[in-house]
Amino acid sequence: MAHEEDIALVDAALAGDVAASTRIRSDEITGWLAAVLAKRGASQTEAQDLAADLIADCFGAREGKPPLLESYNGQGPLRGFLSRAAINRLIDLKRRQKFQGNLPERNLESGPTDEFDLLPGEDDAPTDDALVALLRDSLITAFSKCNPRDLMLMRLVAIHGVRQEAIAAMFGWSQSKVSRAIGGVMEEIREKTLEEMRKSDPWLELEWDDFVSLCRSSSDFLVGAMR
Amino acid sequence: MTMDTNYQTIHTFLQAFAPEIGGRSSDVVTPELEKTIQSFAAGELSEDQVNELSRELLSNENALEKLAALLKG
Repeated sequence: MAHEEDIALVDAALAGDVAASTRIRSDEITGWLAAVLAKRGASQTEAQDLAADLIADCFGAREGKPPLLESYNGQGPLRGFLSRAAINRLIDLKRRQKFQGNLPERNLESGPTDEFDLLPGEDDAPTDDALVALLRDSLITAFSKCNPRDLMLMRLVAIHGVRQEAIAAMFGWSQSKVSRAIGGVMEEIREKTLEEMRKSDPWLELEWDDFVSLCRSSSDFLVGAMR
Repeated sequence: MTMDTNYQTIHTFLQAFAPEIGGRSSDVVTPELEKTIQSFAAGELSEDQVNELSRELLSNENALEKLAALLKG
């Protein structure tokens, strides 16, 4: 579903319309972005700095980089696009901070794949979306730990529209047993996904609804049709 | 958000970014697999057979669709 008003606002801002660009650069938007970041584990200073940098990058403030707004495809709300980009930057910042003040020793005998060598240089553009990788990897690990039969039942019901009564008949179960199996595996997915995410990035404070919302916006903005 | 809606969102995401988990729709359904699916729908498989088939169906969207069609009559 295209968000026409947001598309029009972004188009106008990119075309140089002062009112449109002022709206996007407003304290209200910047403050809201900082709050999004603070809620997810950023310090107040980190939140404010990241939000300000992101809004500046929306209009191409850094040399050689196109305006970030040019990659907004209207397949989700503009705020969803901005919050997603902000959280991605927060993940990147926190992971870089992991090495500050505690750099691994340079060992000439070590292979080229020690952690420090893998850290991208300051001028390197990120080649992967860190947020997508985090969401994906957490889900993959969680799914691998869930009962495959119950995962299959969940997909049959939620994706393929099979009625629970038909599944109950196939197994010789009561419908309530089918319902418990499906409810149980969804709870397992939730618990194990959040557990994996905390192992990877323990500073990141995401509730389950947040996690699902970020999956949705990732699909909307990265897979949706180009404008 | 309902449970089904949350799962649908996750499923869409995984199909895009981890199709080996979300299920590929390009995988072949062999005659042998189709026969196993029919036995499953008729309730003729053991628990171990069900678990083994479940793993296969989760990564083969075409095969899972066949099972769904059988269950929906």
